[in-house]
Amino acid sequence: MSGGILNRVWKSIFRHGFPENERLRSEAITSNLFLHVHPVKVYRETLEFPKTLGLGLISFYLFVILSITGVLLMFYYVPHVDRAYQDMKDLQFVVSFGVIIRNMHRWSAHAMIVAVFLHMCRVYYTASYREPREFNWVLGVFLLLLTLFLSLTGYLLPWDQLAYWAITIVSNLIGVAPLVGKKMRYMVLGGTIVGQNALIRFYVMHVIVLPFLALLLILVHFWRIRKDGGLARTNEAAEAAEEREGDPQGEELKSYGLMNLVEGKTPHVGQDPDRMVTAWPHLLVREATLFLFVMIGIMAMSVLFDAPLEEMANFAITPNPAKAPWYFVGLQELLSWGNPIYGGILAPMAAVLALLLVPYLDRGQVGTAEWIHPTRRRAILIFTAISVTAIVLIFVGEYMRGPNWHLYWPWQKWPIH
Amino acid sequence: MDRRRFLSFLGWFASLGTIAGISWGSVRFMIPNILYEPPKAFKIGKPQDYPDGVNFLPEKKIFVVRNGESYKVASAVCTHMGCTPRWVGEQKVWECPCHGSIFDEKGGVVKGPAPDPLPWYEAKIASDGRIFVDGRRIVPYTQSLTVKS
Repeated sequence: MSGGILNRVWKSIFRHGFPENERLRSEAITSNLFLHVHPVKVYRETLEFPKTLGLGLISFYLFVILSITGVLLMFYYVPHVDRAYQDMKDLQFVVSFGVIIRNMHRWSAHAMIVAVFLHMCRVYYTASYREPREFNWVLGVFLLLLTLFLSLTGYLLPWDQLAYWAITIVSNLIGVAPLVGKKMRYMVLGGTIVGQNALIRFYVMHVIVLPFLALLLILVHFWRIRKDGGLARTNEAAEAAEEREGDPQGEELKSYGLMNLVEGKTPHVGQDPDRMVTAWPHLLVREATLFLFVMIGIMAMSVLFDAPLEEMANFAITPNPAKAPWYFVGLQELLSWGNPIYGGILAPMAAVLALLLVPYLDRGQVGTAEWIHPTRRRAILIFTAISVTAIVLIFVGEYMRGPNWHLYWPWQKWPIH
Repeated sequence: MDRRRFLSFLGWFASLGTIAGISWGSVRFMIPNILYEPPKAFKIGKPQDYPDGVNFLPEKKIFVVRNGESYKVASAVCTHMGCTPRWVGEQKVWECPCHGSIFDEKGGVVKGPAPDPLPWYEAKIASDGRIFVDGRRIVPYTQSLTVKS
């Protein structure tokens, strides 16, 4: 009898049995709110790991891990200057598994910046941003910025020396912007110093505003992948052109009239079925496997390495040297060279603008969805040069700057003050 | 303009006006009108509390520089990115740890990315004999507080 009831419960939720044939497999995807972001069928070629390296998914999984561990941390953390640091100490030493949860949050945040950056590199080096995917690239640039802002706002919350002085530097960076700089800084900090107002502002941005915006953009980003015809494929432009010309008798177009409501970009019936497989199980299994690897990586990091926590924030003593978070330390390095308007404002703005324009400036047709196609030599050289410059700046700032911002080799010892 | 166009214009004006008003109000809301920050003008100790040379007052972020009977007060906030420079007595300079700016004993920029010299604040003797520092008033290096002992 109980088997009968269980069966009825199962049927009331899933409406179908185990998806053992193609019809049920497509139903498994379309009848499920969470799965139906996937297409029913995907091209075999887009499932190949070396095509994407799974970097977009890895970024998303890190976002999920960050959301869950972040909510857990919120149960103990109070954003008040008298309590924040104590709560961090409690999480570190008193709360059960507190240190693991915090480590996971910290390492996932770092990893997400790296993953999002590498994802951007992958899309660039495979020219996957080309028509019709230009706008999804733009969304991706905004997601990269949101990832950086999320990390930055989270950086202040532990209220230790590292946090306090990094945010002091970054907030003054905002202050050097022409005309509106001082007002912006006042609004961001909620005052003139990094104090209680700044802490609560960063907290609200970090736990509500920015994650919500990021989630929204992620959903649009995913949705656009579907609407733009799935992941970029090598011959897709040629296929689409062929399709537009259509069958001489016009019969084929007519019989699939409903599909054509969405302009020719969805997987069509009768379109070389051999090259497509059902998302269940081929795509889902790969996604689940990748998630396991991400979890294993983050767990291993969190068990082996503890996130840093320095002494409590002390506005009287600047640590020497004081450094911004590593992903902004390249900017800090630029800043140390001279006029902050060039290094701190114009250079990053030019970089973001250039990124936004990439898909609209590229007129190439050849080499879409292929790694580092020889016809794209100039585009690839420019992108690589800028990326390497950014990485070198970060490396110099992080590993080669000692007390008073003097240059040292990474293996050189700093003088003791 | 006929009635239809006039009403349409009125409708758009009211809708966009409402959105603009709410947006402006929300931005204005984020700019605080009152701050509970440490005051910019304050009393420190009596002149004789500070020995000759450069005295760092960490909680006020100032340096009290005494030279016999003359007292000067310098800001301890680097004009570049707001870090706290340290006095290096041997070289008679302030060095900023964040980006390596160096200021001479007059506060002038010797080296580094700092755009402006360290400002000197007005100092007076308050009625109770303590030094009153007004961080809102910037004075030239030549001006100092003279206290006959």
